[in-house]
Amino acid sequence: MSNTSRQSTLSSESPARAGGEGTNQQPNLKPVQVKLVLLGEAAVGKSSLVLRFVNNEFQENKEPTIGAAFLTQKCRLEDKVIKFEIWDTAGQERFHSLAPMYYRNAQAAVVVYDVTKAASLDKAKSWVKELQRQANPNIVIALAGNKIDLVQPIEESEDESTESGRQVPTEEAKAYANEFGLLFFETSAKKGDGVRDVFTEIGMNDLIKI
Amino acid sequence: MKESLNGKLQLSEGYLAFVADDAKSCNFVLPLYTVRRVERINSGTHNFALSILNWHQMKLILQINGHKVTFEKFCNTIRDNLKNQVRYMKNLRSFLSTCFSEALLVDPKKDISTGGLGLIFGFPGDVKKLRDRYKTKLWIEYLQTNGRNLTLVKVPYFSKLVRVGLPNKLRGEIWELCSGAIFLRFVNDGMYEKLQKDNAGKVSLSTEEIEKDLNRSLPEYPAYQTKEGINTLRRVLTAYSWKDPELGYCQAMNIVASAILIYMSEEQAFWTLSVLCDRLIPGYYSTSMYGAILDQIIFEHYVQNKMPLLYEHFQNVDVQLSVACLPWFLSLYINSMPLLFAFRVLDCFFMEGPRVLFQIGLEIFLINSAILKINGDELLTITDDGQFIHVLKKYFSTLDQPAHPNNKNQKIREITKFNELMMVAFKEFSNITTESVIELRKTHQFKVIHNIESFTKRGQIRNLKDTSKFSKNDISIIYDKFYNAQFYGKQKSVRNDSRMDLNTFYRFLGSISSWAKLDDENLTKENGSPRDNQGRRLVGYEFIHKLFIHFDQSQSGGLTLQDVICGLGKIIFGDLMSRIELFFNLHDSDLDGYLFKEEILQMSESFLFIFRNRNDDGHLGSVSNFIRNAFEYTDSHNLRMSLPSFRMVVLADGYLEEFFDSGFASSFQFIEPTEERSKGLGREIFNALMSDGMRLAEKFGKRINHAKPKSHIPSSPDQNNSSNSNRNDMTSHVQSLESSNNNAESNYNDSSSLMPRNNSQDSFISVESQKSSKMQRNESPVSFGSDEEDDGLMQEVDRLLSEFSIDENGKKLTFFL
Repeated sequence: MSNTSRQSTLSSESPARAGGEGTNQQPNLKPVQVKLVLLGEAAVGKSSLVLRFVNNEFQENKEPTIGAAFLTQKCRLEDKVIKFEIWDTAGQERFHSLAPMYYRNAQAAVVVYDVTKAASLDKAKSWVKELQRQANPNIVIALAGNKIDLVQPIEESEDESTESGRQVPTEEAKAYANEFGLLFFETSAKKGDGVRDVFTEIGMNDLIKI
Repeated sequence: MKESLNGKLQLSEGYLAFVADDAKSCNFVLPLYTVRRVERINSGTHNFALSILNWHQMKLILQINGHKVTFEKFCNTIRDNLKNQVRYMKNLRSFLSTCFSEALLVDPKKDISTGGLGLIFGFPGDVKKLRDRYKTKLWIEYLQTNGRNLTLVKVPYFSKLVRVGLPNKLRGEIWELCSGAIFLRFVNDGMYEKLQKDNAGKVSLSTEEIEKDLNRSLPEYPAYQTKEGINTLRRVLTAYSWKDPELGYCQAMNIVASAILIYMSEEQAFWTLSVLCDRLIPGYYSTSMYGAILDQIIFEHYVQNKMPLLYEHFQNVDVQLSVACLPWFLSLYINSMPLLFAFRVLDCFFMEGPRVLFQIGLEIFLINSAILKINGDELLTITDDGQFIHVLKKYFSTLDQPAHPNNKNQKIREITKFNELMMVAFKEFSNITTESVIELRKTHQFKVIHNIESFTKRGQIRNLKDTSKFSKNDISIIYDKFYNAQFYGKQKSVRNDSRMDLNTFYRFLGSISSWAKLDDENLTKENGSPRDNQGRRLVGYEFIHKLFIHFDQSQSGGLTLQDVICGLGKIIFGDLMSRIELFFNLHDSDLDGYLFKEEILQMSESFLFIFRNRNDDGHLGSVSNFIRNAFEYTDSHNLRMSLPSFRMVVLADGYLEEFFDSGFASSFQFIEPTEERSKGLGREIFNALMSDGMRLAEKFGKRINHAKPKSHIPSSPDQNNSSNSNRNDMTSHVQSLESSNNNAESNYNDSSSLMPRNNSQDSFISVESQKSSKMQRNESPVSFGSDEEDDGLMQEVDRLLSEFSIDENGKKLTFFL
């Protein structure tokens, strides 16, 4: 993962509203559209990540997504305006065959797993495989390990093994991400940690490609 | 009330059903166990009449137009059927105590003990605004006149009452009555509790998935913020997952279940789910979700037909309808529109069946495109998915607002967008009938399955960790053969996962190598090992067994596709030495690194077996050479042979050397034999039907049986009369529907004595045949007769063969792939 984009941050273009048009202060800036899809096992927090990003809020009992949900968010990234169009998909295995409908034109994908569930990383890997073979060949894929709020060490400690409940070590997932050319993040939709970085990096990557 | 109507009467094992000729003015389904008394009325001349008194003291007079013989036969049949149903009568009283309508008519103020969560946690919406009391009053009148719960007769006013929205406390009962779930609940008394008890404490993938969703099913409704509400939902969903483990649990079922549980008791909700999954929206929640995908295709078809302009626009901007509509259908609009409106849609859905889903969806499109000029032409101006969803979201969120805010007429101004939606939908799209939906489902179902299967296939192949140097094409063929063998082997297989058992492995191997081909007709199998028709064990096949064990790396007793590919890969892409070693290891049954006498003999038998179809004489000589040399080279001390000696013995013989060098590897052929292909698309279709073994196919057989009129629920006649080929239809005359207060108790035995005695034979064969085959299922809708299932499947496969051939030449459907 490169550090070049570290300095750039996203700023919401408008008061966060799904689908809202917003007030554009620089009307001459035409937003760059980025179609993004979220994939991952059921209940890893896909919808919560989006909700955190779009509305900056967190719902404890978010209803499971049926089929898929669609949200948008406009952001400023350096001198550009990016409009994220986000497809948030259902995670249960049997919805799998519907996924191509949502990722078929996607420029970016966030594949989410739950750091407290090792099996969810396996599912994430199979999504990555599928995307790399079936989706748009230029797709930018980010791997996001969510729910780190559940494993944050009680006291500051260098040693990760003291984190209770963690089943996927950061290093393992990171190594996998590097090997397959994915952006990598650990996030907490509940607390907001890392969520914005996911979209910033994706935005940067997409701007480069566009 | 007296009225006389012409219509069709249908008698089955457990039910008497009537539908008026115009399909509107009257219909009923009367369970025979609610019949108290049947009397013959002597009206002389040509008309033959029966008077039927039911549990609720309603008297129906049936006048049958037809020959005397027909009438006699009818009388005999109804008498016999009544006798068989008598055993259910004892349950009536306790059952009726669970029906709200009973309490309502006896004492409207009395609280009922069972019902939905709404009784405790309150019903959504403002009771006054909903005019709940007024609606209840109207229903009391209706129920007093036309019977209630099990004996209700539907006259046109019924659907009007449903359309304006059901009153809270009666809603659950009308839902289960309309869907037919009430009849299932009656005949399966106690099953819900039994399922709970039998499976208490058990866990499965489904129960895990259910747990994940319990806290997120209508979380805004107060009951689901409490333990009590959550437990209720958990019990219903898990019980269903045990009832139909193949389906298990699908997200969206939690939404539907949590919604209906507000108005229904657990048991009511359980049986309603059952009717949903089996009959109303079959396949929506199955593991492949083929039903949901199928209905999306049908919906698209309707949009294309009814609104070609809009459809074309969607095509031009490459927007797929399903991205918005799939969730509508899957959660029956519950998640899409405000809850109160969604319940109104559900009222209609349960009354009229799945066509309502289509009608509402079409109407939403119609209103939001210029065609009706009401909501502007927004849908016609969208350019991508995002705008599409946005327009619809906006529409749903304003459903409670006036549709015509600027109209001068106060009355019209009061019409909300939702009112408008409900009013226009059923008018504008009245020609979308249940029959046409069922017809379209039949037309498209196999293409959908095929597409799902090819998707599954690609996914499975993609997820192979190791493709063993096989080409894509080879892998694809191995995949097909693997599942093909599974399909045929399924009946005998003991496994219900997607792993391949030994018997199936024989079949599979036979399909890729001629030496392993099993001549089925000469073989019987005992304890898993093939025997010939004299019961002798075929030693050669032990070789395949050994191979099976060798392939089974996880030692699970079953092979995955990955196991098979790795196993075959090692043989085919190995070399002379590795293959010699493989044979050595296969026969070294105690893995001690030596072959003993017995093992050497087995090796020779394996050779003979593999070579048995070769036309040359060389192999016999070579095998006898092998035996001779082998014993020569065995360690004279222990009479055993090590791997190096075995190598030497093999390499000493040109024939064997050739076999290990290339012959064995090239004996595996990955080609789709051409005759097989032309003989029938059967193979391909079977492949297409395979998903996780043949679960999908099995499921399908089951579903199709359900879709046939032998469906075990007496669906309301208007939903089912499309297929009455061998039903006992006869024209009859329902002369009067009267509530009589005649309380004379008469049990059924009395009435049977009033039946005619003389048995005439002719013209009534259809009654008999139907009795024996079709309606058998009424009694035990849950335990499916397996024979019948298989028949159903085979018939469908036949049908499918003919359909597929058309499809191959014609256009291939490419939905979302």
